[in-house]
Amino acid sequence: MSAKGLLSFVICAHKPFARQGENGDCAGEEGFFSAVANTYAPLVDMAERLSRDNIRPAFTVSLSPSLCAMLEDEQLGGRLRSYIEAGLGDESAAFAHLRYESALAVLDRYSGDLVTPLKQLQQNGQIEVITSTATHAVLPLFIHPECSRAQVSVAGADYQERFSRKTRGLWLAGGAFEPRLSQYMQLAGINYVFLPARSFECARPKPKYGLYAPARLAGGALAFACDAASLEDCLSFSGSGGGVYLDCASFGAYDAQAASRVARAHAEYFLRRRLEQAEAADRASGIRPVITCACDADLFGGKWFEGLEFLEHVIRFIRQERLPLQMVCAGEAVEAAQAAVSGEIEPDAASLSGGGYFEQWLSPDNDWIYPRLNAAAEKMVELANRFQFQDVGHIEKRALNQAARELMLAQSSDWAMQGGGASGCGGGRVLEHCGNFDRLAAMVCARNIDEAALRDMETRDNIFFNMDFRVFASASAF
Amino acid sequence: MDTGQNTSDTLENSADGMWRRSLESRRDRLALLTSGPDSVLVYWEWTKTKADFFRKGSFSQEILITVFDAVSGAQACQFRRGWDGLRFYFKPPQRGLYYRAELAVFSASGETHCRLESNTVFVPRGAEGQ
Repeated sequence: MSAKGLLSFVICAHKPFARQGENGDCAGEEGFFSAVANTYAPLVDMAERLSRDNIRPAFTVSLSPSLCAMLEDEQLGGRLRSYIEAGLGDESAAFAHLRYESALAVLDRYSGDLVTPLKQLQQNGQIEVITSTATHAVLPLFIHPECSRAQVSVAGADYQERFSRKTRGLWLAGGAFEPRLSQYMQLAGINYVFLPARSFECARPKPKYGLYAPARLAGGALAFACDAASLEDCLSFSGSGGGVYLDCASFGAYDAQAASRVARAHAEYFLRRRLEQAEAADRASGIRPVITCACDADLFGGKWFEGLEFLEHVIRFIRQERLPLQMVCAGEAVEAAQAAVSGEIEPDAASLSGGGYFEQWLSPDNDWIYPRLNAAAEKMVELANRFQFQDVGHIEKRALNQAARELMLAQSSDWAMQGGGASGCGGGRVLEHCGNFDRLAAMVCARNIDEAALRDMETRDNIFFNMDFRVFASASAF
Repeated sequence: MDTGQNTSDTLENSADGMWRRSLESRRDRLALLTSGPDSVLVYWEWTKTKADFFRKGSFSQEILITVFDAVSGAQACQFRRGWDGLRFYFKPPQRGLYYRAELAVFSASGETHCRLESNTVFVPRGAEGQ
């Protein structure tokens, strides 16, 4: 049976860079460990299991460069193992033992490195891996275009180095978009991005084929609209389950078999709804629609314990029940939709956050971070312009590259979401990275580098090994 | 026992306390950021030297911020604020436009002393009736 519609799951995996030295004193590390144990390792396990059963998972996973750096970090790997082993010894969390055992098995299989199996799954055509903005920065809140370009460019280069090929797709942190970003996608060789449905609904002109076909952006990249209904369904399932799903807040009595039956029923309902959508889109515009269901990876396994089981049921049902829906990776959706691409549109500025715009990252509670970030950005652009054609010494170059790393880490959208003043974890991280940046910039300008201090920062904030500060230059070509 | 030192640290580390740091900026700066179709943040920063001029009364205590449609150049709205207000949010008169702003500082005698120019922001169009 030919498919009436294409179902493109985009699973967005990101954690803020949290690697605070030997003593593991940063709260962010725990969030990362939990995500590996509950989501990333089980996701790999699920994709491999489907693949062994000759069922192609065909989902897209966006891995942020900061998450990849942590997944490959040996120090963090050691602490991750301790975290999982502690979980296995926790009698009150017996429901998670099976998952933790399987997470450990996956980690053992790949010597603790989860990027490798994802890379292999991609090479075998089972899934697609794309990247996100370098430190998951929300680009519409930048006032220096050089920073938007650098976030996209560094992410692309990081991906190429890690996956030995160019990324085709880009996940914009928070789905946050504004029209001027279109031009940067082409500059960085990005073929497609994912935008909030609202960006399509309020686009000029309206996309010819509506929300279920990609539309061309100025500069040539394609944009897919994230389907609000399928995300709402997933969010609604995660918070329901008729009292059968695991309540992650209370950890009360848990019947795993009953929860599994509900996850299966939710998968069946989800697919019925998508089929109805596909049929309606076909009637309305005569196209085979692409339904892009973009979800935060944490939903699957973390916030929704049974979420991965739900996803596996969805993928298996389509195949086993011969449903007229086809799971596709985003790149395949581009190929399949070539006949129905809406002409060039200017999508509206929007995001996938609760309010639909940028309130989550810019409000009276957290707006104080922007003067700090913008002052550092202005200085970085100035330094890049000043030194890009100069024959700077090795140590000055190291300091400039580290300054670029510190700025990018400060720009992570996670800090604004954690809110509060400078004492809060998020605010503290902005001040820490901006402080490091200021110190490095002052050293470079004075041509007097404190190598011990520089080495300390390079060791702690060891992301983007091949960072080149010139990516922040006003006329940088990438 | 609570000490004055702790209270002072808390105030300094609060969001308002952090904004006070904008009175010792490396440069005078004016910026716009948009958080949605009906909300634009305008903020400004002063070098310590410039802030001292305000404090000593060499400049008028009031600054004038004018917002323009960045494409047509037409004036969109205007605000008078205290020099050390450092930020406020406003509802743009029209959605779906690019805006930029200028900040004017006046000498005590009322003459324009200097102007700061902001970046340009795009204010989302938003849905009708939203």
